[in-house]
Amino acid sequence: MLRAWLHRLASSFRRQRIDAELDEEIHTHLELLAEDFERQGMTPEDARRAAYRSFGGVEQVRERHREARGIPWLDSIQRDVRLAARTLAKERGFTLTAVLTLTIGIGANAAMVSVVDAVLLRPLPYPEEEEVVTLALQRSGMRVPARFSEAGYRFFREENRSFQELGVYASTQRPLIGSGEPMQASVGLMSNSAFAVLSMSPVLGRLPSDDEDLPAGPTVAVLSHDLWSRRFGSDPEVLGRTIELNDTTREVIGVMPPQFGFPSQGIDVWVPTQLDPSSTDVRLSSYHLVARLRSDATPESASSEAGRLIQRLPEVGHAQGLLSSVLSGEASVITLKEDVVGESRSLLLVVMGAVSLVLLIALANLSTLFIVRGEERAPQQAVRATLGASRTRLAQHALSEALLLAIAGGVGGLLVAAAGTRGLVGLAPPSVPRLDGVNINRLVLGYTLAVSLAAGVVFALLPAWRARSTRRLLPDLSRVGRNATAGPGRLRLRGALVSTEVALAVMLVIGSGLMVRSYSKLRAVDPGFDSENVITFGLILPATRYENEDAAEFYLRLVERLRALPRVESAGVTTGLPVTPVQANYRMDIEDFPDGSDVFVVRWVTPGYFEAMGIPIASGRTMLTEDVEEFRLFIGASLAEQYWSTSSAVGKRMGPGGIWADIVGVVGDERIRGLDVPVEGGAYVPIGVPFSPSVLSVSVVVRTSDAVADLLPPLRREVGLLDPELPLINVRSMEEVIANSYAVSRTTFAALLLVVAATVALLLGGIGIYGVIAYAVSRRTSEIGIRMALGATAAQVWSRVVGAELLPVAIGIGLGLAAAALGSRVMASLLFETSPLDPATLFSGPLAFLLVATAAAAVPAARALRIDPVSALRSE
Amino acid sequence: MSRIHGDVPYGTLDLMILKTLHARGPLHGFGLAREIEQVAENLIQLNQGSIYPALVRLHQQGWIKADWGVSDSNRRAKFYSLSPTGRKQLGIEVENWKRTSLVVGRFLAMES
Repeated sequence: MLRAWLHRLASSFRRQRIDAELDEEIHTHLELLAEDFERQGMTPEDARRAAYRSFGGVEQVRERHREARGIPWLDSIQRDVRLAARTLAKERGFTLTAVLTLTIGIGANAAMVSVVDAVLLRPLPYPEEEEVVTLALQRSGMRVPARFSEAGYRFFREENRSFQELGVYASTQRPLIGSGEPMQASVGLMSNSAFAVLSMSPVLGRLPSDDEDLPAGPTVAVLSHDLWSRRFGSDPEVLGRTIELNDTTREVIGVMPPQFGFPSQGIDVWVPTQLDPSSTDVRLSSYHLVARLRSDATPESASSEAGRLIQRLPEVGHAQGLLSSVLSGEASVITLKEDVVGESRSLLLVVMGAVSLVLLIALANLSTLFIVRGEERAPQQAVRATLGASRTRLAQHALSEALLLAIAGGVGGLLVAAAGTRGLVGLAPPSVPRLDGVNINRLVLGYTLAVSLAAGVVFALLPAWRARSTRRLLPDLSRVGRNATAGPGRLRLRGALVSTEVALAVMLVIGSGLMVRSYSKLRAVDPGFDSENVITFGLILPATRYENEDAAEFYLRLVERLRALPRVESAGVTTGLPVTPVQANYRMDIEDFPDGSDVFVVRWVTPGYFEAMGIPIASGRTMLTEDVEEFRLFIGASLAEQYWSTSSAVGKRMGPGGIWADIVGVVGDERIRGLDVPVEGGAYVPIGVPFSPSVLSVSVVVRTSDAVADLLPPLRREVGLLDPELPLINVRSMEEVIANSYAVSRTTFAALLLVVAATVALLLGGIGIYGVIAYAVSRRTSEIGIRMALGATAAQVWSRVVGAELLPVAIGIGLGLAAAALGSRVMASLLFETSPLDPATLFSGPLAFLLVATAAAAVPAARALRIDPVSALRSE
Repeated sequence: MSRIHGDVPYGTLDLMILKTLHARGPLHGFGLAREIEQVAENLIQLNQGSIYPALVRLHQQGWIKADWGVSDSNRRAKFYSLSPTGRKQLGIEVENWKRTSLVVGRFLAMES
């Protein structure tokens, strides 16, 4: 039995050879028969005829031979597929439209699925990662990480009942020296308890010991996998070597695995916090909490406990003022994954939503196309049914055609996705985490397959559903002349599809409008400096040849030379560019406020920086060359406002650890961390004063009188004259710095993708409307002809034929508006100073679609009005 | 089993082919058809072509073998012969046939 089936299966795939063999056998047989008859005395002609007679029908033998040897359904599938391929090849326009539409729709979606999978869905690398949480505060709709003092951390650690383990971490930037050029390293400060929470072992060496996390303990460092391979050539002998981190010599004791990126990917080195376990220090630090939930605790229960503990912080000496400012808001324990992914989630989901809408529009469009095609074919189908084709046979044929198209679209979609993921990763804002894991995996393949098959089945079923009974098929014979008016049922389904399509497109247009509005609002934010005609580049002075003190002199000489260049207006040097989220924070005491010690962004700059950046001097004076002799301070206007709102800040004193510096100038606030981050006060210290950390790695800013394209060679020359071996790093305009900053790049990305999606949606919608109306006009040519012959005016014809088809468009616009009003809330977190219900956008979105719809309808409508009654009737 | 055999009694063509191959040794399609016609004389009307679907079925069951060879008149032709399992099957079929005809005979001999 099995043997017979294997034969049948094999012969299904070798049919051509078997057919040829059978033909040869039949041929020989007939020849031999004919010879026999000839021997009996017949003429060759008679003998041949007699041979055929006695053999029986050759074609029947062939057919029964096939039936006997093959697997009927497999053969019929093969036949269907071949027939479908032939039909589709003939209808090239239809096939191309369908496959291309599917390719784009499925491709864009598959690409987004792979990005969403890598960024949002895959778990973090830590064991039992769902237990790892962090503490944030919900404050007026924003989520900010909670910051603690050392005493506050100790209190939380001792008093909580929700966590197995609880640690603190912070991240900052510090210059790193050792094994190669000095660099600005991203440093993760981690308590040993934080390492314990994450429970990840190093790939090389060990984690810090308990002593090493005590004040004045041995100073050690754990390297990131990336830094280890970049800077130490993945040398296993790296353990025991030393690096200089912010002038502290640290022994390398371990290397973390590549997937360990805490608190964010891109941290180069981790060092212990070395907090005093019995610290009573209640000054605010920049430490955040990371913890592992007990099995009996939930994020909700932990949140309410954390809220109660924060209220009890005064027990360890916290000032009430702190609770009302820094720790105000609702305590909320969230999983670390939510924290890592958080900001990117809404971005990716909105983009994913947009491409899903495009796919839905594409599917609705193609469904209409299939239905129209099905209607055109109905008479032909009816003829086939009358001639005895079974309903199953007809359905099978339709299904194989639709599936063939869908699979072609799916394959094309995968190719688009493979290219698209690369494009998306390249285009995505730098802040989106975990993009290195984006690939076409089983999930993406499964998704593509599922969408393709579903699309195929829907396309096949829609027309089949219309022709769902032979009873309904038969009357279609009367319409072989294809000039009857479509029945109301047909119109209803097609109208529903058009409405859906229009509604989705209107939603997308509104969504993209909101993003574009956010983008323009964000770009309108005053960054606090004038980015026009400013060029910036990085310099790193090698520690082997420069001392920190030499650096200041080098920068001053460089700035002087640069300023002497033609068309250069001013130049300066800074340790940190604005609109950059990671900045170096330092603690300073404030003389007027004995308890008012604060942590804020401090940057070391040369004279000329404020001028080069175009930062206005609010009060006091600008930085002068002699300021490098003495420790003096310049502060941002909002810092001055925070502490000296009623008097002038100039002349007051601030400084680290009891060393006081005069505030000699108050300058305009820069948007230090980004255009969307509220203004915060920062301080500037002249490079070269004592007590500065390493300033060997800096950015140079140069303002020119106009947009200078060829400034780079003279800049290089001037740097080279001072030190021929010094490269210019990352030369950019300040405009580019802003464009690549977090909020701007994110908004640009979302706006760009949404505009592309909305444009595609408009196009597809326009094509859909054009197709439907053009079809209606062509079908009703004779009806229009009769109406016009009977005296109908152009306006009447218009409203009868075109107006009827435009009704679903109007319904769709209404639905789209309502859906956008409800749905745009999900975009709220991506929007910048733009309401999801922005009236101008809600109004102009549908308007844009109406324009497209009118344009799409105008062409076939004009054709309807040009119909000549006589020739229309003659075409019967 | 085959459905339509023209005037050949239902289900008997397979048996005829097997038996002919058993008695005459390897034969090509034409030879086989001629042998069957000669044995049956004019008692049945055989469409010679109808043996081919039967042959492919018997081949799939593994009861006959098919090899390309050269005919008496020097033509390339496919020669069919009985396989060992076919020989066994022939025995079974013959037994079945005898039993069937015995039973049918008894019914026909029934007196009213």
